[in-house]
Amino acid sequence: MMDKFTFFWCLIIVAMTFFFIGVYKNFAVKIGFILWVNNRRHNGEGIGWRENLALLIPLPNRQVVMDEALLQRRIKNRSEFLWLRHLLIFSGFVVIFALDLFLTFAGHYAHHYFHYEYFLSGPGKGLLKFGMELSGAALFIGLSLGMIHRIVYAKAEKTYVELKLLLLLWLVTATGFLAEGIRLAGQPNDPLMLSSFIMRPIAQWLGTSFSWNWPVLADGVWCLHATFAAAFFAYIPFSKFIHILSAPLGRSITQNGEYAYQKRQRISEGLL
Amino acid sequence: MSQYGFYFDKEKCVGCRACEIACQIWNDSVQTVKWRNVAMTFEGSYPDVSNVNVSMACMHCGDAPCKKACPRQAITKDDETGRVTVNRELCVGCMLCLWACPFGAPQLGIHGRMEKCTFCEDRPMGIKRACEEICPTQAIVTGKIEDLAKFSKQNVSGRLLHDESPGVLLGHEGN
Repeated sequence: MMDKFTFFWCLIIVAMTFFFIGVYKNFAVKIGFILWVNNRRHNGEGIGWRENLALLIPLPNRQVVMDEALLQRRIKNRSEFLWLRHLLIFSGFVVIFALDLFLTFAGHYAHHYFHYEYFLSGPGKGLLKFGMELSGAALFIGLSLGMIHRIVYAKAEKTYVELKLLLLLWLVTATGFLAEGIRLAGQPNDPLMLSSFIMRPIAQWLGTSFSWNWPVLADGVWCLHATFAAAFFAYIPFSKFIHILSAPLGRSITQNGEYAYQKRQRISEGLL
Repeated sequence: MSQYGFYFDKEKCVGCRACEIACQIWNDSVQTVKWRNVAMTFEGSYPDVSNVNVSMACMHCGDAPCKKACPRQAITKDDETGRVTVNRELCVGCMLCLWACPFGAPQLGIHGRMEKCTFCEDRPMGIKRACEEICPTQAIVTGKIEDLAKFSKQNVSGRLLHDESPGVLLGHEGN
Protein backbone atom coordinates (compact mmCIF):
# COMPACT_ATOMS: atom_id res chain seq x y z
CA MET A 1 0.00 0.00 0.00
CA MET A 2 1.14 3.53 -0.78
CA ASP A 3 2.95 5.30 2.05
CA LYS A 4 1.06 8.39 3.23
CA PHE A 5 3.95 10.71 2.40
CA THR A 6 4.15 9.29 -1.13
CA PHE A 7 0.43 9.99 -1.44
CA PHE A 8 1.05 13.49 -0.06
CA TRP A 9 3.80 14.30 -2.56
CA CYS A 10 1.75 12.95 -5.48
CA LEU A 11 -1.07 15.27 -4.40
CA ILE A 12 1.30 18.19 -3.97
CA ILE A 13 2.75 17.72 -7.45
CA VAL A 14 -0.72 17.69 -9.03
CA ALA A 15 -1.91 20.64 -6.91
CA MET A 16 1.20 22.69 -7.56
CA THR A 17 0.90 22.04 -11.30
CA PHE A 18 -2.62 23.50 -11.27
CA PHE A 19 -1.47 26.27 -8.93
CA PHE A 20 1.37 27.37 -11.18
CA ILE A 21 -0.78 27.14 -14.34
CA GLY A 22 -3.32 29.38 -12.61
CA VAL A 23 -0.68 31.79 -11.32
CA TYR A 24 0.82 32.02 -14.79
CA LYS A 25 -2.53 32.51 -16.54
CA ASN A 26 -4.27 34.77 -14.03
CA PHE A 27 -1.38 36.64 -12.49
CA ALA A 28 1.99 36.54 -14.27
CA VAL A 29 0.49 37.14 -17.72
CA LYS A 30 -1.58 40.03 -16.32
CA ILE A 31 1.44 41.68 -14.70
CA GLY A 32 3.44 41.18 -17.89
CA PHE A 33 0.64 42.80 -19.90
CA ILE A 34 0.42 45.79 -17.54
CA LEU A 35 4.18 46.38 -17.72
CA TRP A 36 4.11 46.03 -21.50
CA VAL A 37 1.16 48.37 -22.01
CA ASN A 38 2.57 51.02 -19.65
CA ASN A 39 5.99 50.76 -21.26
CA ARG A 40 4.49 51.15 -24.74
CA ARG A 41 2.59 54.21 -23.57
CA HIS A 42 5.64 55.97 -22.17
CA ASN A 43 8.17 54.89 -24.78
CA GLY A 44 7.33 57.61 -27.24
CA GLU A 45 7.67 60.39 -24.71
CA GLY A 46 11.43 60.76 -25.04
CA ILE A 47 12.06 60.32 -21.33
CA GLY A 48 15.01 58.49 -19.77
CA TRP A 49 14.87 54.88 -18.62
CA ARG A 50 14.84 55.89 -14.95
CA GLU A 51 11.73 58.04 -15.39
CA ASN A 52 10.17 55.36 -17.56
CA LEU A 53 10.81 52.71 -14.92
CA ALA A 54 9.33 54.95 -12.22
CA LEU A 55 6.19 55.39 -14.32
CA LEU A 56 6.10 51.70 -15.16
CA ILE A 57 6.53 50.46 -11.62
CA PRO A 58 5.92 53.19 -9.07
CA LEU A 59 7.57 52.52 -5.73
CA PRO A 60 5.24 50.64 -3.41
CA ASN A 61 4.17 52.88 -0.58
CA ARG A 62 5.19 51.43 2.79
CA GLN A 63 2.31 53.08 4.61
CA VAL A 64 -0.16 51.56 2.15
CA VAL A 65 1.37 48.11 2.62
CA MET A 66 1.08 48.52 6.39
CA ASP A 67 -2.50 49.84 6.30
CA GLU A 68 -3.88 47.61 3.56
CA ALA A 69 -2.05 44.31 3.95
CA LEU A 70 -1.11 44.11 7.60
CA LEU A 71 -3.62 46.21 9.51
CA GLN A 72 -6.37 46.13 6.87
CA ARG A 73 -7.74 49.49 7.97
CA ARG A 74 -10.03 49.77 4.96
CA ILE A 75 -12.07 46.80 6.18
CA LYS A 76 -12.06 48.18 9.72
CA ASN A 77 -13.57 51.40 8.43
CA ARG A 78 -16.45 49.38 7.01
CA SER A 79 -17.13 47.19 10.01
CA GLU A 80 -15.14 45.98 13.00
CA PHE A 81 -16.76 42.56 12.73
CA LEU A 82 -15.67 42.14 9.11
CA TRP A 83 -12.19 43.39 10.04
CA LEU A 84 -11.88 40.87 12.88
CA ARG A 85 -13.10 38.06 10.64
CA HIS A 86 -10.71 38.95 7.85
CA LEU A 87 -7.78 39.50 10.19
CA LEU A 88 -8.35 36.11 11.87
CA ILE A 89 -8.42 34.37 8.50
CA PHE A 90 -5.44 36.32 7.14
CA SER A 91 -3.18 35.96 10.19
CA GLY A 92 -4.24 32.36 10.84
CA PHE A 93 -3.64 31.34 7.23
CA VAL A 94 -0.28 33.08 6.87
CA VAL A 95 1.11 31.81 10.18
CA ILE A 96 -0.09 28.22 9.88
CA PHE A 97 1.14 28.03 6.29
CA ALA A 98 4.61 29.29 7.26
CA LEU A 99 4.87 27.04 10.33
CA ASP A 100 3.56 24.00 8.48
CA LEU A 101 6.03 24.52 5.68
CA PHE A 102 8.86 24.87 8.19
CA LEU A 103 7.76 21.82 10.19
CA THR A 104 7.46 19.68 7.04
CA PHE A 105 10.97 20.49 5.87
CA ALA A 106 12.67 20.68 9.26
CA GLY A 107 10.85 17.69 10.72
CA HIS A 108 10.85 15.34 7.76
CA TYR A 109 13.56 16.26 5.29
CA ALA A 110 16.28 18.67 6.40
CA HIS A 111 17.47 16.41 9.23
CA HIS A 112 18.86 14.02 6.62
CA TYR A 113 21.39 16.68 5.70
CA PHE A 114 21.89 18.63 8.95
CA HIS A 115 22.25 17.38 12.48
CA TYR A 116 19.76 18.83 14.99
CA GLU A 117 17.23 17.59 17.49
CA TYR A 118 15.49 20.85 18.37
CA PHE A 119 12.78 20.63 15.70
CA LEU A 120 12.60 16.82 15.60
CA SER A 121 11.66 15.92 19.14
CA GLY A 122 12.90 18.85 21.21
CA PRO A 123 11.11 21.97 22.43
CA GLY A 124 11.28 23.51 18.94
CA LYS A 125 8.74 21.01 17.65
CA GLY A 126 6.50 21.70 20.63
CA LEU A 127 6.66 25.44 19.93
CA LEU A 128 5.85 24.91 16.27
CA LYS A 129 2.91 22.68 17.19
CA PHE A 130 1.67 25.26 19.69
CA GLY A 131 1.91 28.00 17.04
CA MET A 132 0.07 25.88 14.50
CA GLU A 133 -2.68 25.06 16.97
CA LEU A 134 -3.08 28.74 17.85
CA SER A 135 -3.06 29.98 14.24
CA GLY A 136 -5.30 27.09 13.20
CA ALA A 137 -7.78 28.13 15.89
CA ALA A 138 -7.70 31.75 14.66
CA LEU A 139 -8.28 30.54 11.11
CA PHE A 140 -11.07 28.20 12.15
CA ILE A 141 -12.89 30.89 14.16
CA GLY A 142 -12.50 33.42 11.33
CA LEU A 143 -13.78 30.97 8.73
CA SER A 144 -16.70 29.86 10.90
CA LEU A 145 -17.69 33.49 11.50
CA GLY A 146 -17.36 34.14 7.77
CA MET A 147 -19.54 31.19 6.82
CA ILE A 148 -22.24 32.04 9.34
CA HIS A 149 -22.25 35.68 8.21
CA ARG A 150 -22.29 34.63 4.56
CA ILE A 151 -25.25 32.32 5.11
CA VAL A 152 -27.25 34.73 7.31
CA TYR A 153 -26.68 37.75 5.06
CA ALA A 154 -26.61 35.73 1.84
CA LYS A 155 -27.94 38.47 -0.44
CA ALA A 156 -25.50 41.19 0.59
CA GLU A 157 -22.50 38.95 1.23
CA LYS A 158 -22.80 37.07 -2.07
CA THR A 159 -20.95 39.95 -3.72
CA TYR A 160 -17.99 39.74 -1.39
CA VAL A 161 -17.62 36.16 -0.17
CA GLU A 162 -17.22 33.02 -2.27
CA LEU A 163 -18.95 30.36 -0.21
CA LYS A 164 -17.38 27.29 -1.82
CA LEU A 165 -13.90 28.70 -1.29
CA LEU A 166 -14.68 29.45 2.35
CA LEU A 167 -16.12 25.97 2.80
CA LEU A 168 -13.05 24.35 1.25
CA LEU A 169 -10.66 26.19 3.56
CA TRP A 170 -12.92 25.44 6.51
CA LEU A 171 -12.77 21.73 5.63
CA VAL A 172 -8.96 21.93 5.40
CA THR A 173 -8.80 23.48 8.87
CA ALA A 174 -11.43 21.22 10.45
CA THR A 175 -9.84 18.03 9.11
CA GLY A 176 -6.43 19.32 10.28
CA PHE A 177 -7.69 19.59 13.83
CA LEU A 178 -9.49 16.27 13.54
CA ALA A 179 -6.34 14.53 12.26
CA GLU A 180 -4.32 15.89 15.18
CA GLY A 181 -6.99 14.87 17.72
CA ILE A 182 -7.25 11.34 16.35
CA ARG A 183 -3.48 11.00 16.20
CA LEU A 184 -3.21 12.03 19.84
CA ALA A 185 -6.04 9.68 20.83
CA GLY A 186 -3.82 6.81 19.65
CA GLN A 187 -0.70 8.24 21.31
CA PRO A 188 -1.76 9.18 24.86
CA ASN A 189 1.90 9.36 25.98
CA ASP A 190 3.04 11.77 23.27
CA PRO A 191 5.67 14.00 24.97
CA LEU A 192 4.41 17.01 22.99
CA MET A 193 0.80 16.47 24.07
CA LEU A 194 0.81 19.75 26.00
CA SER A 195 1.49 21.76 22.85
CA SER A 196 -1.83 20.66 21.37
CA PHE A 197 -3.78 22.68 23.88
CA ILE A 198 -7.05 22.57 21.92
CA MET A 199 -7.14 18.99 20.73
CA ARG A 200 -5.58 17.42 23.88
CA PRO A 201 -8.81 17.26 25.96
CA ILE A 202 -10.77 16.04 22.92
CA ALA A 203 -8.11 13.40 22.20
CA GLN A 204 -8.18 12.22 25.82
CA TRP A 205 -11.94 11.98 25.73
CA LEU A 206 -11.87 10.08 22.42
CA GLY A 207 -9.12 7.73 23.69
CA THR A 208 -10.98 6.82 26.86
CA SER A 209 -14.46 6.64 25.32
CA PHE A 210 -13.83 4.59 22.19
CA SER A 211 -11.48 1.75 21.37
CA TRP A 212 -11.04 2.23 17.65
CA ASN A 213 -7.90 1.57 15.63
CA TRP A 214 -6.62 5.12 16.10
CA PRO A 215 -3.39 4.94 14.00
CA VAL A 216 -5.27 3.69 10.93
CA LEU A 217 -8.05 6.22 11.45
CA ALA A 218 -5.47 9.01 11.97
CA ASP A 219 -3.77 8.14 8.68
CA GLY A 220 -7.14 8.15 6.88
CA VAL A 221 -8.17 11.55 8.25
CA TRP A 222 -4.68 12.94 7.57
CA CYS A 223 -4.97 11.82 3.93
CA LEU A 224 -8.39 13.51 3.75
CA HIS A 225 -6.84 16.67 5.22
CA ALA A 226 -3.99 16.55 2.71
CA THR A 227 -6.46 16.08 -0.17
CA PHE A 228 -8.54 19.09 0.88
CA ALA A 229 -5.38 21.17 1.38
CA ALA A 230 -4.05 20.23 -2.06
CA ALA A 231 -7.43 20.97 -3.67
CA PHE A 232 -7.46 24.34 -1.95
CA PHE A 233 -3.99 25.25 -3.22
CA ALA A 234 -4.87 24.18 -6.73
CA TYR A 235 -8.00 26.36 -6.56
CA ILE A 236 -6.30 29.53 -5.19
CA PRO A 237 -5.36 31.21 -8.50
CA PHE A 238 -8.75 30.44 -10.03
CA SER A 239 -10.72 31.84 -7.10
CA LYS A 240 -11.13 35.06 -5.14
CA PHE A 241 -8.17 33.93 -3.06
CA ILE A 242 -5.93 35.18 -5.86
CA HIS A 243 -6.19 38.50 -4.04
CA ILE A 244 -3.46 37.25 -1.68
CA LEU A 245 -1.09 37.68 -4.63
CA SER A 246 -2.64 40.49 -6.64
CA ALA A 247 -4.05 42.84 -4.00
CA PRO A 248 -0.86 43.56 -2.00
CA LEU A 249 0.97 44.19 -5.26
CA GLY A 250 -1.74 46.21 -6.99
CA ARG A 251 -2.71 48.27 -3.98
CA SER A 252 0.85 49.13 -2.99
CA ILE A 253 1.88 49.95 -6.56
CA THR A 254 -1.16 52.13 -7.18
CA GLN A 255 -0.61 53.66 -3.74
CA ASN A 256 -4.20 53.32 -2.71
CA GLY A 257 -5.50 55.45 -5.60
CA GLU A 258 -2.75 58.09 -5.59
CA TYR A 259 -1.50 56.59 -8.85
CA ALA A 260 -4.85 57.43 -10.49
CA TYR A 261 -4.47 61.06 -9.50
CA GLN A 262 -0.93 61.12 -10.93
CA LYS A 263 -2.17 59.67 -14.23
CA ARG A 264 -4.95 62.25 -14.53
CA GLN A 265 -2.52 65.03 -13.72
CA ARG A 266 -0.12 63.82 -16.41
CA ILE A 267 -2.92 63.91 -18.97
CA SER A 268 -4.00 67.39 -17.95
CA GLU A 269 -0.37 68.60 -17.99
CA GLY A 270 -0.07 67.15 -21.48
CA LEU A 271 -3.03 69.23 -22.59
CA LEU A 272 -1.75 72.40 -20.92
CA MET B 1 -21.34 46.30 -32.46
CA SER B 2 -21.50 50.03 -31.81
CA GLN B 3 -18.77 51.65 -29.80
CA TYR B 4 -20.00 54.51 -27.68
CA GLY B 5 -17.58 56.92 -26.01
CA PHE B 6 -16.85 60.33 -24.61
CA TYR B 7 -15.57 63.41 -26.37
CA PHE B 8 -14.08 66.06 -24.11
CA ASP B 9 -13.16 69.57 -25.17
CA LYS B 10 -10.76 71.24 -22.73
CA GLU B 11 -11.23 74.59 -24.43
CA LYS B 12 -14.84 74.61 -23.31
CA CYS B 13 -14.44 73.20 -19.81
CA VAL B 14 -14.63 75.82 -17.07
CA GLY B 15 -13.86 73.41 -14.21
CA CYS B 16 -17.23 73.80 -12.47
CA ARG B 17 -17.27 70.09 -11.52
CA ALA B 18 -20.99 69.85 -12.29
CA CYS B 19 -20.20 66.64 -14.21
CA GLU B 20 -18.75 65.07 -11.04
CA ILE B 21 -21.88 65.97 -9.08
CA ALA B 22 -24.30 64.81 -11.80
CA CYS B 23 -22.44 61.50 -12.02
CA GLN B 24 -22.64 60.99 -8.26
CA ILE B 25 -26.32 61.90 -8.09
CA TRP B 26 -27.37 59.72 -11.01
CA ASN B 27 -25.37 56.71 -9.86
CA ASP B 28 -25.95 57.24 -6.15
CA SER B 29 -27.20 53.72 -5.47
CA VAL B 30 -24.06 52.02 -6.78
CA GLN B 31 -21.36 54.65 -6.46
CA THR B 32 -19.24 55.00 -3.32
CA VAL B 33 -16.32 56.97 -4.80
CA LYS B 34 -16.09 59.57 -7.58
CA TRP B 35 -16.21 57.95 -11.01
CA ARG B 36 -15.60 61.23 -12.83
CA ASN B 37 -12.83 63.56 -11.78
CA VAL B 38 -11.88 67.01 -12.98
CA ALA B 39 -8.11 67.45 -12.98
CA MET B 40 -7.05 71.10 -12.76
CA THR B 41 -3.53 72.13 -13.67
CA PHE B 42 -2.04 75.57 -13.43
CA GLU B 43 1.24 76.78 -14.87
CA GLY B 44 3.19 80.01 -14.47
CA SER B 45 2.67 82.88 -12.08
CA TYR B 46 0.58 86.01 -12.21
CA PRO B 47 0.07 87.63 -14.64
CA ASP B 48 1.28 84.89 -17.03
CA VAL B 49 -0.87 82.06 -15.82
CA SER B 50 -2.31 79.32 -17.96
CA ASN B 51 -4.57 76.57 -16.75
CA VAL B 52 -6.43 73.57 -18.02
CA ASN B 53 -9.37 71.60 -16.65
CA VAL B 54 -9.81 68.04 -17.78
CA SER B 55 -12.90 66.05 -16.86
CA MET B 56 -12.05 62.38 -16.94
CA ALA B 57 -13.87 59.13 -16.34
CA CYS B 58 -13.58 55.71 -17.91
CA MET B 59 -13.26 56.18 -21.67
CA HIS B 60 -14.65 52.69 -22.41
CA CYS B 61 -11.61 51.91 -24.57
CA GLY B 62 -12.06 49.78 -27.68
CA ASP B 63 -9.32 47.43 -26.57
CA ALA B 64 -9.67 47.96 -22.84
CA PRO B 65 -6.37 47.30 -20.99
CA CYS B 66 -8.20 47.04 -17.65
CA LYS B 67 -10.15 44.07 -19.01
CA LYS B 68 -6.97 42.28 -19.99
CA ALA B 69 -5.27 43.10 -16.68
CA CYS B 70 -8.02 41.74 -14.43
CA PRO B 71 -6.97 38.44 -12.81
CA ARG B 72 -10.60 37.49 -12.19
CA GLN B 73 -12.07 38.39 -15.58
CA ALA B 74 -14.38 40.71 -13.65
CA ILE B 75 -14.25 43.44 -16.30
CA THR B 76 -16.34 42.94 -19.39
CA LYS B 77 -17.08 44.90 -22.54
CA ASP B 78 -20.64 45.05 -23.71
CA ASP B 79 -21.04 43.78 -27.26
CA GLU B 80 -23.83 46.18 -28.20
CA THR B 81 -22.59 49.46 -26.75
CA GLY B 82 -18.90 48.90 -26.08
CA ARG B 83 -19.28 50.02 -22.47
CA VAL B 84 -16.75 48.54 -20.06
CA THR B 85 -18.13 47.49 -16.67
CA VAL B 86 -16.95 45.76 -13.50
CA ASN B 87 -18.73 42.73 -12.10
CA ARG B 88 -18.43 43.29 -8.35
CA GLU B 89 -19.20 39.65 -7.57
CA LEU B 90 -16.00 38.61 -9.31
CA CYS B 91 -13.81 41.62 -8.46
CA VAL B 92 -11.33 41.25 -5.57
CA GLY B 93 -10.30 44.91 -5.45
CA CYS B 94 -6.66 44.28 -6.31
CA MET B 95 -6.38 47.52 -8.36
CA LEU B 96 -4.40 45.93 -11.21
CA CYS B 97 -6.96 47.51 -13.58
CA LEU B 98 -6.00 50.93 -12.28
CA TRP B 99 -2.34 50.15 -12.86
CA ALA B 100 -3.16 49.30 -16.49
CA CYS B 101 -5.66 52.11 -17.18
CA PRO B 102 -4.19 55.09 -19.07
CA PHE B 103 -6.76 57.46 -17.53
CA GLY B 104 -6.60 56.31 -13.90
CA ALA B 105 -10.33 55.62 -14.12
CA PRO B 106 -11.08 52.59 -11.92
CA GLN B 107 -11.39 53.53 -8.25
CA LEU B 108 -11.46 51.36 -5.16
CA GLY B 109 -14.89 51.73 -3.55
CA ILE B 110 -15.54 51.66 0.17
CA HIS B 111 -16.65 48.03 -0.08
CA GLY B 112 -13.21 47.03 -1.36
CA ARG B 113 -14.34 46.48 -4.96
CA MET B 114 -13.37 48.46 -8.04
CA GLU B 115 -15.84 50.98 -9.34
CA LYS B 116 -15.86 52.99 -12.53
CA CYS B 117 -18.12 54.80 -14.94
CA THR B 118 -20.80 52.51 -16.34
CA PHE B 119 -21.72 54.98 -19.09
CA CYS B 120 -24.98 55.44 -17.11
CA GLU B 121 -26.02 51.90 -17.99
CA ASP B 122 -29.52 52.43 -16.64
CA ARG B 123 -30.13 55.26 -19.14
CA PRO B 124 -31.37 54.40 -22.62
CA MET B 125 -28.64 54.93 -25.19
CA GLY B 126 -30.64 57.53 -27.12
CA ILE B 127 -30.43 60.15 -24.39
CA LYS B 128 -27.52 62.10 -22.96
CA ARG B 129 -25.38 60.70 -20.12
CA ALA B 130 -25.68 62.47 -16.74
CA CYS B 131 -22.34 64.31 -17.07
CA GLU B 132 -23.09 65.41 -20.62
CA GLU B 133 -26.58 66.55 -19.73
CA ILE B 134 -25.42 68.78 -16.89
CA CYS B 135 -22.36 70.31 -18.56
CA PRO B 136 -23.15 74.02 -18.99
CA THR B 137 -20.59 74.49 -21.78
CA GLN B 138 -21.12 71.23 -23.69
CA ALA B 139 -17.49 70.28 -23.08
CA ILE B 140 -18.54 66.64 -22.71
CA VAL B 141 -20.28 64.99 -25.62
CA THR B 142 -21.19 61.32 -25.82
CA GLY B 143 -22.28 59.21 -28.72
CA LYS B 144 -21.19 56.64 -31.25
CA ILE B 145 -17.48 56.88 -31.75
CA GLU B 146 -17.74 57.39 -35.53
CA ASP B 147 -19.99 60.39 -34.94
CA LEU B 148 -17.69 61.71 -32.22
CA ALA B 149 -14.66 61.32 -34.49
CA LYS B 150 -16.38 63.41 -37.20
CA PHE B 151 -17.44 65.97 -34.61
CA SER B 152 -13.91 66.09 -33.24
CA LYS B 153 -12.35 66.57 -36.69
CA GLN B 154 -14.73 69.41 -37.49
CA ASN B 155 -13.96 71.13 -34.19
CA VAL B 156 -10.21 70.61 -34.47
CA SER B 157 -10.02 71.79 -38.08
CA GLY B 158 -12.12 74.83 -37.20
CA ARG B 159 -9.72 75.69 -34.41
CA LEU B 160 -6.58 75.06 -36.43
CA LEU B 161 -7.88 77.55 -39.01
CA HIS B 162 -7.77 80.12 -36.24
CA ASP B 163 -4.37 78.86 -35.02
CA GLU B 164 -5.74 77.56 -31.73
CA SER B 165 -4.86 74.42 -29.79
CA PRO B 166 -7.31 71.60 -30.60
CA GLY B 167 -7.23 70.29 -26.98
CA VAL B 168 -9.64 67.40 -27.20
CA LEU B 169 -9.58 63.99 -25.59
CA LEU B 170 -11.10 61.06 -27.42
CA GLY B 171 -10.05 57.98 -25.54
CA HIS B 172 -11.72 55.16 -27.34
CA GLU B 173 -9.27 53.62 -29.77
CA GLY B 174 -6.83 51.13 -28.32
CA ASN B 175 -5.39 52.71 -25.23
